[in-house]
Formats: sequence, C-alpha cells, structure tokens
Amino acid sequence: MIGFVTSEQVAQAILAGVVQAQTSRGLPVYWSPGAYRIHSGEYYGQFFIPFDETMRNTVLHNGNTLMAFPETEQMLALLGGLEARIDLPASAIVSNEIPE
Amino acid sequence: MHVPLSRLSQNSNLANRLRWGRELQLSNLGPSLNPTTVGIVDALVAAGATVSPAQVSAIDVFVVGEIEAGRWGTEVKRLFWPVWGVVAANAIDWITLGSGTFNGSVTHDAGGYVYGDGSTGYFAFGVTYADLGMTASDAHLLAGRISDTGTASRSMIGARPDASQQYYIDASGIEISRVSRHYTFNTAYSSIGGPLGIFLSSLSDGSNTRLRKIDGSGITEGATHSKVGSIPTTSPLEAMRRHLGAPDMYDNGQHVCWSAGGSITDPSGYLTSMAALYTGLTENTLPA
Repeated sequence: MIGFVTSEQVAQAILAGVVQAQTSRGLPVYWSPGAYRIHSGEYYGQFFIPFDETMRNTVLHNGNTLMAFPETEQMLALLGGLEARIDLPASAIVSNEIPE
Repeated sequence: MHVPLSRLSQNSNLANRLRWGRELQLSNLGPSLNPTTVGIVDALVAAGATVSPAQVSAIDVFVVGEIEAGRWGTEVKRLFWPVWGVVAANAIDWITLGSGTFNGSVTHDAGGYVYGDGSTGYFAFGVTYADLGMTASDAHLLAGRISDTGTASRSMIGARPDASQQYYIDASGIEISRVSRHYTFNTAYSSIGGPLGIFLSSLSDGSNTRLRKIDGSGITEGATHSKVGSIPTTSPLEAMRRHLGAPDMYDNGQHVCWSAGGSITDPSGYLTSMAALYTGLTENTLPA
C-alpha cells in the first residue's frame, strides 16, 4: 500500500481538511482517503493514509481529479510531500483484536 | 406524475447539463420522464457523470417500475449504482439524492463498476441500520458484484457494532442475515452458486431470512434460515469491508450496486428489475 505514515493528530487534521474541501464547495462528503491505525511493525501506533496512483488519477467531481483541488497540495505539504510516501505492507493495518 | 419534456428542455438542469453528444434529442426518449428520474439524472450530471439517452430511458423504466411496485423509498431506502467512473456520481443515493462516502483506495472504472484495493478501499453509506428503520424483523441488504479476483471471506455489505462482532445481511442464523462472498460459498449456501451476480438477503416473514441471487442464468434461491440475535443500531452501514483481521477481507471484487432498507415483499421482482437496470446502464449482462 502506497501512502503516508503520520501521527493521529495530523491524520485527523488531514481528514478534516478533506471534509472541509468538499463542504465548503456546497458538496456532500463523497470521498475520503481514510486513515488507518498501524497495528504492527516499524510504524506501530501511527496512522496510514493511502495515497496511491489510483487515488491521484481518480475523477472525483466534474472531471476533476484530486490533484485539481488546491487543498491537495497543502495537505501533501503537511505530510512531507509525495516523496515522503512509503510502501506499507497491508498486514501492518490489521487489528488482531477482531476475531472471525 | 410526469414532467413534459418540453418543460425539461427549458427549465431543467437535465436538459442543460446532459452531455449527449451533438444534439439533445429529448423527443426520442418518449413522451415524458418521471420527475424522480429527472432528479436522479440531474444529480448525476451535476456530479460529472455522462448519462446517455439510453441510460436515461433505463433509469426511467426502473424508477417507474419500482415506484409502482411500492419499493421506492419504503422497502428500498438507500440505493447506489456506482457505474459512472466518477466518485461524486457513484456516491449518490438515488432514493434521497444524498451521498455516501468512498474511503481509501477505490478504482472507479468507466466501464461501469468500482473495486477496492483489498485493504483500505470501501464505501460508507453514511447511515446505520437504525437510521433506515431496519430491525431484526424488517430488513434487506443487496449487493451486485461482477468479478471475483480474491480469496473468500470478503464482505459485500454490512455493519460492525463493535470490535468483536459483525453483522452482515446473511441467513446464517448468527445475525439477521448477511451478504458476503464467504457465506455465499460455504456449505450452507452452496446451492446459490458462485459469488457473482446481484445478491439480495431479506427478512420476508419477520422470522426467517433467505439469500437470493440473480445472474446471467436467472434467479437462485438459498435455503430459509431462522434469524437469531439482534442487529446493531449505531454502527455504520458499509460495502466492500468486512472489518476482520486480515486485510484481504476488504473485498476487491467489482461492485455495481448496493441497496438497504426494509424487507422486500417481492424479491424476484426486485432482482429482475435491478438486473434489467444493470444491462440498461452498462450494456452488459450479468455473468452467468
């Protein structure tokens, strides 16, 4: 999974910014990158925000991709820029607290 | 009540905003469109979807049929058709014209489906079972899925009340019912076939659930199961997410529709109507 590892505080700020970017345009909240707690490995306790090429290229609204929204650059800067992304194993966000 | 097309051409966003190629030929669509159809198409186009005349006609046939069948807004309280290749359009609830939320990495394919990455991508309806008035005696969930690229134990649609329990529409006897690939395939549900098609689980008589599926071969009915336990009231209703331990339990199959609400009085009628709309919207037939 390609994306950012960050603190819970920053993750919540990012998600709030995403919501604001939509509601400030009079739109419902139809999209979120999501933020996933990391349960194991090097980044245990931090949060993962996916940001892969699929997300970058997806048409969100009226022909605009995520990168067309000026808020995106601000959020990327807060996360350290695209070069700060890592490839996190999906198993890192698995919570073993949930039995089948 | 129908809206004359002449009025649409003058006043509606539908006429102003549909991208129908060179010229808008409203007269080709018939004498009128149901106003509910107009509202849906308006919302889709405003979100950036390209809606063809054939698709408008298919939506209108579907809407009129569902209203006449008494399902629209009563039995079916949320309905999503994520076939437009545009996130905002795919998130529109056709019943209320509100919106759900796509989370994580989800591909919105212009070919008429969405699929998650199997680890972060899912869809949140933005409501709970309780919000929709769904009870252990009066509920349905539906999910349409046209490809299967992963392993078993993936949820198509459901909700989780806490960290240790999950409630999906099924007929397993653990909960009111669940729709998941896993439970479609286990021994109890082998009779319903593979994990492709449009799946409907509904409480039809207040005490039993039955899982049904329509695919390219027609309708298949699973066995009737007694419901056991209660259903969650505060946890969010979601699709493509199972909430279990392994990340591959997020479903990355290709999804085409979801609905939720009360028990479906005529399950075969609803499945047939949904399958026809799938073909009308995508020009494809459901896999056999």
